Amino acid sequence: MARLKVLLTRCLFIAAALAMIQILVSRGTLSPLIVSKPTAVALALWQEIAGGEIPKLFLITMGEVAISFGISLVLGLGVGYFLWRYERWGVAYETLLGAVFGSPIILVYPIFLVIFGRSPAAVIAMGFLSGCIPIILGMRDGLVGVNRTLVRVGQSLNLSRRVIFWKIQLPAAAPTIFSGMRLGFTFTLVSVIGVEFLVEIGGLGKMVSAAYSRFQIDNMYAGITAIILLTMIFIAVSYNLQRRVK
Amino acid sequence: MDAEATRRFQTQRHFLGKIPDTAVIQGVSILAFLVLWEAVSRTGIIFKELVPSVFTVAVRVWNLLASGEFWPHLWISLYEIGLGFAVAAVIGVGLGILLGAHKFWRNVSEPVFLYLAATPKIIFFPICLMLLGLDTGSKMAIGALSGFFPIVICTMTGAREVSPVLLRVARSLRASPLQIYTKVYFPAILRHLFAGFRLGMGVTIIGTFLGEIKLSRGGLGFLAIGFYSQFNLASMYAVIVLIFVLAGVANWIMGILLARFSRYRGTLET
Repeated sequence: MARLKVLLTRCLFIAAALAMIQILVSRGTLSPLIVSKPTAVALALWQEIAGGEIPKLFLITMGEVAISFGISLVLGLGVGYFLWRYERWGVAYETLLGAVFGSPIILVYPIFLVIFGRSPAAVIAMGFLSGCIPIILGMRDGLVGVNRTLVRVGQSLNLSRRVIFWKIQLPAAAPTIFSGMRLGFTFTLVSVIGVEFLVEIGGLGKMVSAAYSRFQIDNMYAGITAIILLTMIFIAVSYNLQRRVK
Repeated sequence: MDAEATRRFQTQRHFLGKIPDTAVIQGVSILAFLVLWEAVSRTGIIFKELVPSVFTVAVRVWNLLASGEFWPHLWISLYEIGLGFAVAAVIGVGLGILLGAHKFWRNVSEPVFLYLAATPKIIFFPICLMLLGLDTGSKMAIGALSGFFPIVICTMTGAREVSPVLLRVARSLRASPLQIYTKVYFPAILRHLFAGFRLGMGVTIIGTFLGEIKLSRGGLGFLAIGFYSQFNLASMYAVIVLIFVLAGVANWIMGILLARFSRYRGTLET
């Protein structure tokens, strides 16, 4: 009951905020050249979805995200495993990777533009760079954090190193590894959409930038709404999956 | 175990003398990266103009610092970042304490902030441009918007963890709501506040520079993308290096403040 009350209040607040914007724009207090009416945005969003434009751009964005994330996953898990297996390298690289992760890494995107040109490859390279570091750190931290007692039990049962890894260490490290993967996916998604917007190529990010350049304000807000909804869906799905892994 | 490993390798002495193993691996790795970059540049495997020599970039960094061209852009960026961060901090902390102090309102608002925090903030930049124009205002606004979310989320987390005992003591002493916010909540959440400030500063810097790169009339992002347009890539790399140094210094300062205020919280509780 309390949860329902919270949910209703949240919906009420969002609806009230949208209604207020609608009234302020209709009365001319907010310029319609700057802010669109929520009803106009909803209509533009629907038209773009029904007309096939948003689904097409969505597929482009998701294709770029999938390739970036796929490469991040393969390389990230591999490097993470190496850094766990060779402890000395792991300790040294954890600091280096942490420093890179803490830096405004997306600002190197002009370098990828220089190397790959204004192409989806530049977007994918940026998505990969943003996504792979949390995956590496998650893989290593997960395996490092496995309780030694579990490994000793495996050794006392005379299990081989390979079996101990696949049957004991990897399942025990799974929540932390998944956490790194979730973070990596979020960073990849944000970077891909960000670079699409900045360079005006690709999918949904391009839609916002192009609509702004053409002064199609309703479409611009529709693009922003689509991106917010997409992010919300992925965050919700990944939280749900993480709960299952735990 | 990880801390143990760190300690073990940091205390192990290398054959080079007093340098610990981790430092040797780190130093060699950075050096290897620079050597590889230089080799790619000199051999011209990738078109030579695209990967300028490390030495050329270093000279350009020096030239930029020595020229009068760099500093006005740096001040513009610092002004935008500073004001953007201040706005994010004031609104983020105010709203964070206000909402975080009440369980119901915290539950209502927290998911909204969490979802919006994960959205790429740069897509809101056109709105900032339409509202505030091409000058510094729009960059400050996108910086503030970027920094707001980590600050408000960390503040709310801190407010949630304030000990009920402290609140009961304040109420029993008939403290006013304003006094409870300023004398109980604020000091008790300093650690979370500075953790939020550290994250917020990082994303404010990113938001501001991305805004400058997209559309602006000044700032280091504007300078970098200007060099890109002129195909003056060595200078573009030099500006990017300087931006990373600036971000590193900001992160270091916020780290020091965080360490200091984490201790402050401890003394309050004892």
